[in-house]
Amino acid sequence: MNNLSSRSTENQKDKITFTLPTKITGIVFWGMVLIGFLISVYVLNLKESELISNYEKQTAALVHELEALLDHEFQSNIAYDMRKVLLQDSLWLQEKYDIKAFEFSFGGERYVFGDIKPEFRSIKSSLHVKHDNYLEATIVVYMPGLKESIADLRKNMLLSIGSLVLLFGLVLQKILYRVLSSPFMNMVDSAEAFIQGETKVRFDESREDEFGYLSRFINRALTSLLKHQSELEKSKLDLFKEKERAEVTLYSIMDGVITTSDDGRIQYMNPVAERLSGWTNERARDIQINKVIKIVNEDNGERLKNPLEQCLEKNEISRPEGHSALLRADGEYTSIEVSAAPMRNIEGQVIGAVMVLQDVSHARNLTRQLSYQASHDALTGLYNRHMFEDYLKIALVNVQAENRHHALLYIDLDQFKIVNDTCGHMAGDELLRQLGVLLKGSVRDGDILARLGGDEFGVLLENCPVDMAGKIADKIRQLVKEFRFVWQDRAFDIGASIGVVCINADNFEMSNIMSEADVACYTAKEMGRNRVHFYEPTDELLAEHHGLMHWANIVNDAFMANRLVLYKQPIKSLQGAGLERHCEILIRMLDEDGNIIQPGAFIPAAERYNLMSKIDRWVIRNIFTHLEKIEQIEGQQRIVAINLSGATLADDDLLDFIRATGREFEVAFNEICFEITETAAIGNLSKALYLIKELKKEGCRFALDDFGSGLSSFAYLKNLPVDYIKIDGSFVKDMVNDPIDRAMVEAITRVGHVMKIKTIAEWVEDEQTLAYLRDMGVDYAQGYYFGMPERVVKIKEL
Amino acid sequence: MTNRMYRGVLGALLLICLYFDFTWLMYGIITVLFFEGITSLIVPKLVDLFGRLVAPGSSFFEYKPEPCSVGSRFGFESERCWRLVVGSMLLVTYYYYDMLWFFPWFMGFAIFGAGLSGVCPVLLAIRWAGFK
Repeated sequence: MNNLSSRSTENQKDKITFTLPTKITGIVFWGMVLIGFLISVYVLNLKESELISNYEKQTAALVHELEALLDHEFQSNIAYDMRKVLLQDSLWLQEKYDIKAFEFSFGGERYVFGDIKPEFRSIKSSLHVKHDNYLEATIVVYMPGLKESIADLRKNMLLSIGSLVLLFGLVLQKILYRVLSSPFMNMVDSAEAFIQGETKVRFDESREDEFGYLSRFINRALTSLLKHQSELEKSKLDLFKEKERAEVTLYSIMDGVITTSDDGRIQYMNPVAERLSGWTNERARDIQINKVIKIVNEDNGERLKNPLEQCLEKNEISRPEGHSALLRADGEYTSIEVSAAPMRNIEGQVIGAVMVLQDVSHARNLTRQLSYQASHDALTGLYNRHMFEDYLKIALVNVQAENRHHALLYIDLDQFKIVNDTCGHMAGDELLRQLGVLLKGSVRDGDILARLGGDEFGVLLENCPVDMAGKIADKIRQLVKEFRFVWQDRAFDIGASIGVVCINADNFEMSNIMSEADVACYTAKEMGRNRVHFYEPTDELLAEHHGLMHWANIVNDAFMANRLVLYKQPIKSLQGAGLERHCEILIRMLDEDGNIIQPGAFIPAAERYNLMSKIDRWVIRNIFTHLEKIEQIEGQQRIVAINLSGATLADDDLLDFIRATGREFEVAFNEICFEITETAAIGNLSKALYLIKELKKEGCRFALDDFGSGLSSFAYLKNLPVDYIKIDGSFVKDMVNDPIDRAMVEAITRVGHVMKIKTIAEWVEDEQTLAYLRDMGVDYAQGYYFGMPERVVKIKEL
Repeated sequence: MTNRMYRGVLGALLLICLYFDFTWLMYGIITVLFFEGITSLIVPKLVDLFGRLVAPGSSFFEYKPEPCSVGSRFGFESERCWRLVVGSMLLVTYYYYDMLWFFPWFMGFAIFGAGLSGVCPVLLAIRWAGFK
């Protein structure tokens, strides 16, 4: 008990003021005391009645015994003394019947035995006494007082019952302590030990009573609790690690991350967000997001609603449309991509939002740069052809609907090639740059000026009637004419041929307009250059030019449909056997019906529309593929000549292509001879020189085709390290009859021999010409005299 | 001396008085109870003072009052109140002993039992009524 009450705990609430056994004992005790007293009262009342009854019975018994006694004495001794008899027996009678005193009255005599006190209870009775004869006698018996008796009875009874109750209470308390308090306090001790961290402590399960049952139950609960706690600890650890990882991730990622509460107040900013916004995490905490992150439209500078606020309003991911920029605290703008998403708890309620800011300045600058490069010409800064066509498309949209009139100028420079050839590409580029500036100043604000390619420019004149377009075109022509280009002490006059096309409700097809402009420009050139020519559908010159375009389409179709075929024509040695076997590869085209089309019909169109490079590559690849089928004779050197056009020579990738293709098909380069025309070589002199030099390293040979047709053939011959000179057929064809032609052939042959260059005469058609050539020392001859061109291989076999 | 011990002694004395009809002692006890209740000089305190004089440091005489009820309505101490109540009841019931003879006996046993068990319903009721 003392243990129990003195057990101290940290908290006053934990103190047990009245233990359970004490309470039970107290209740039982008090109850028993009360019940005991009630029983006592009841029993005492009964005892009082019983006492009175006993008194009367005792008196009656006394009277009877006295009668018997006196009668016995009288019979044995007639003369007995009644008083004496009564005196002799009064004492034992008093003791026997618990009589304090009695009074006997007989025949006027009165005898008193014992001390009579006022508190004694008296009982009067009569009896028959035989004395001489039967006489009436009266007796008064004095019993102890009822009050006194009851008091004694009370004391004894109360003391007994009280003692019993007290004893019972103490025993009960002890028993209760053993069965309740002791196991209870053991459980308390176990619980306290568990609280102190001794997790292995368990409640005593050995008892078979409710405490044992409770202990087993609690132990199971503790085991479960510890298991859950362990899992919880693990979860906490995992969660902590996850949180750390998330924080480190947020700290490390390259995007700015801002988290806010559900009312838009900033809770966290990672370092990138701090850098982008110009605010620190501490300073921005609990501040409304729109006061820290101010987003504007990058294109027009308009303030945009913060996506995080929109996200919180609509409970969905939000990102502004268009290009966004962040207005920093220092007033600077940063191009950003921004998005905001709501953060939800496990019940799906929105508990805040997260905003991600990505600095896209670099990417956006690159995009701008790429966009600029995609739409502008790098050299002049003007729009390029692609952009020009886009603007043209836009302009054409409203032509028919709104009956507008536009005009398109197609400008081609007249003397550009001379500048390029004589002063190099740098000069040509500079000329184009200066002309770009000049042209820009000559058109109206809003007119679209573009470089369409090479030395071609285009001007789109929106809402411009024909006469106005003519004036502007003429003004441009005049300006270009008056422009004098100076490069390293050399001055050049430049001209411009301008084709003009009117765009109206009758003429608004994009492909037609560009084609018509090109045709008109070409016509202007054909008509003598430095002029403006308005497109006329009935123009014969234009019709001819249309023929070229028509042929270009045919060439393209044939190319796509594999209708190009290769022929070979032998080149015979005139200086005896032992020399190499030569042949020249020629190209033909088949029409849709399979008829052969001669190169004179389609090559000009292919040259005009930049198809030659493609055709030449096709030829090279197919010759390399089927080289073994061409002029292959055991023990004799073979030379296969392939023509290269001027456009192909200008192709920067041609050298790599030839090398790669040759290696692919294991071609012996010393069997390959490339023929380049004199004009093509001169037109791309630097590139031609480089190509010849590099391919000669591989073993290739070079022939200068159509030599003599140009004006300055001999001058350039010194600079071109070719192996063969092919004398232009126009000199050879009539040399028998024309002494000048014959002299030209002879001169070329001599020069070639002096320069250790072998000569080949073209167009040899008869025996007499051949004899002249042989006499002159020409090394090789080629022409119908030796045979018609033969087909090398069917195209389908390629 | 604790109040619990005091109640045990007082109960025992009451039973002795009743059993042996020590009327003078009964009235003496009633007087002491009233004295304690009125003056606050309750016997455990006096025993404590006495103990300090005769046996300093002894824990037997040391008075260990129970903590007062927090938030009580009256400033009057419950122990003093208890003594006045018990004294009054004893005086009345003993004076009319013939009629209320069982009350003094009941009180004697009850107080003695309170001393043994440590639970006194009257004291609890007094505290419940708001005495500190």
